[in-house]
Amino acid sequence: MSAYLELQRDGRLGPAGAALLYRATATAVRRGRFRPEEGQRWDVDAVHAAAADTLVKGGSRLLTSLLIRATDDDSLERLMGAAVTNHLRDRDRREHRGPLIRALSDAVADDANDLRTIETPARRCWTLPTVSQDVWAGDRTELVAAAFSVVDISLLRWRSDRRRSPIAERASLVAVMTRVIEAAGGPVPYTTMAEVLEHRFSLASPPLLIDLDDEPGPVEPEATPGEQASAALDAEVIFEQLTDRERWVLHLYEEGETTVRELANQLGVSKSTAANTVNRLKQLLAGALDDSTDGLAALQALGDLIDDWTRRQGPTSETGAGS
Amino acid sequence: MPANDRTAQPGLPDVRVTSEVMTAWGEPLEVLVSRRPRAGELWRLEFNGAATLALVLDRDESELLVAAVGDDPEYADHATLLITADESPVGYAVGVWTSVTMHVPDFVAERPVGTLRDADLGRAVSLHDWLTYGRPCDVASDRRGRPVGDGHDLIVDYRLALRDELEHVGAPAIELARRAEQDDEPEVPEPSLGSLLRAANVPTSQLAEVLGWPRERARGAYRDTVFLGEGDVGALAELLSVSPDVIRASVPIPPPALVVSVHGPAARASVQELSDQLGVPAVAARRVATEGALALQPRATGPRVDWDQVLADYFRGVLQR
Repeated sequence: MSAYLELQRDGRLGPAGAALLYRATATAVRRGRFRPEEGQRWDVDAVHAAAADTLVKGGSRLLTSLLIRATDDDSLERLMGAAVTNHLRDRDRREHRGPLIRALSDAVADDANDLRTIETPARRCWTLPTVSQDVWAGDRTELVAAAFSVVDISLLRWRSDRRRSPIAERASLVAVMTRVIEAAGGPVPYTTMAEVLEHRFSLASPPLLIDLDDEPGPVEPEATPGEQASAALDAEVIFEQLTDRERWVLHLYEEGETTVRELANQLGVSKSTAANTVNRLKQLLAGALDDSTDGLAALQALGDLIDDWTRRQGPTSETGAGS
Repeated sequence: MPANDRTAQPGLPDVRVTSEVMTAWGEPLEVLVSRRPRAGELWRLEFNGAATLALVLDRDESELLVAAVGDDPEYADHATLLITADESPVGYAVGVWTSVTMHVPDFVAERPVGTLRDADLGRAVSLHDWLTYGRPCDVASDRRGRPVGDGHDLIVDYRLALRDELEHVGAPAIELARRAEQDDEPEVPEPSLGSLLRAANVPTSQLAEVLGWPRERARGAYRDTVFLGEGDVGALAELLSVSPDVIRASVPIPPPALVVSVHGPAARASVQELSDQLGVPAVAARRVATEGALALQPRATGPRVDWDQVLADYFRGVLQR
């Protein structure tokens, strides 16, 4: 049954919906180049966990919005992909909160300004000598509006993986923090200030289904030459084990031809042959990528090899890919 | 269609669509036929393979003035009315964007999803009139989003995305409604799909087998009464050894008045029944019904075709009423 019809009938994901979510998650991970959780690598379990996390975080709001805004399985998968991408971006950005607060602390400490750090029994705050001693507790949107009232700031590329990475020129940061504290009329807790500045500097949590990012994903550290070479070697080993038909299947997956019927049509084979090829390919890739030190990088390198290979084959070979 | 009590899929949490929306989705078909969008109601707008959620601010005989509804109250400008989860007809907090409005034909209103409280409709209209006509507005700031900062403010991007979503549904529908007033004929391009199939000498049986179609549908392709999905386009391109673009360009464009009818309220319940019968989403059921009606009504010259009647005849046959 169609995943969308399952959702419409039962108000929840059924077997087809779960499969679609897993597939959308795997695609989002690959396209967004997201880092796995600390100490983990992207494998089937990690992809399933990311799918489950997306569902937990989005909750009923996510499923309801999917029901309303999708019209069929294709649009459902596309929207699921956006939801997973935004969830993974949000997860990465929450991990940035600590480095962001450190960057703000550096700006406060290094520049000649009136900003001060104070410690209340409950939390640490930034404040000014000109405001009251009462820690701010109010509507955060007012502080965000105050942050945006500072104009002509200079943005810099924010890198959470660099401890001293700037978010904007320090003078701009100090100006924004000062305006926020003035609007608050009292000390502003670190976490609140970080949330407000995340909005001001386009680092806020992404929306549920709408993709606002121009960039393909969060900043990822460059792989070292050694890591790149290792991934390329792993990819070559996998590539050599594939039959022509399996290479075409991988290519067609990249092109978005993902149902067995579509693959069978494209390859000029029966649906059962196409299904057998897909199953063999999954087993082979799972085993090979388990042995790889960086499965995602190896998969990306494999994609490049497949692209080169299909270009060399030419368009007329596709229907005869039956080896 | 109430949610059933099956367990969650292995590995996934038991998350469900809100009961408010499931209740609205399960509205009886006979009620669905008679529903006309009214001010204050949230409707799912659907057309051109896209769907979105909008509030009806006003309506006249055949057009609706709608405002986009966003799922992310964190992203809301100063003209956006914030509806808390407790007050929301969909069961979670939303924002009604009175800065993202559009006049759309009423046939894009596909399904009622809930109704705002009268006070909230009044607030939404007040914000719209404030923004559009400069009238005084006393909606409290805690019921609205915040003023947009500058070009870096993500609210600007969010608003653009919502506008795109609404226009993706509304703009082609407006164009179609305009054409429906003028044209009444399917537009058969040249070369048509039928002529391509005849030139390639592909037998009906082979076409049906390759595409997994019933014979009747394959015959319809020769008569240029079949509209294709993307999967069919790829298979046909391979079968005829032409590029997919050639296939796409060869498919007939149904008469605008028929498309309006198949989206209209009179067909709403029948489309749902056909969708259930075929096990396909409503968007695909509409395509099947469009083909069926076109096959039932030979291309005629002369008096305007009453597509509502042709569709009614078609549904009477396939739904075995």
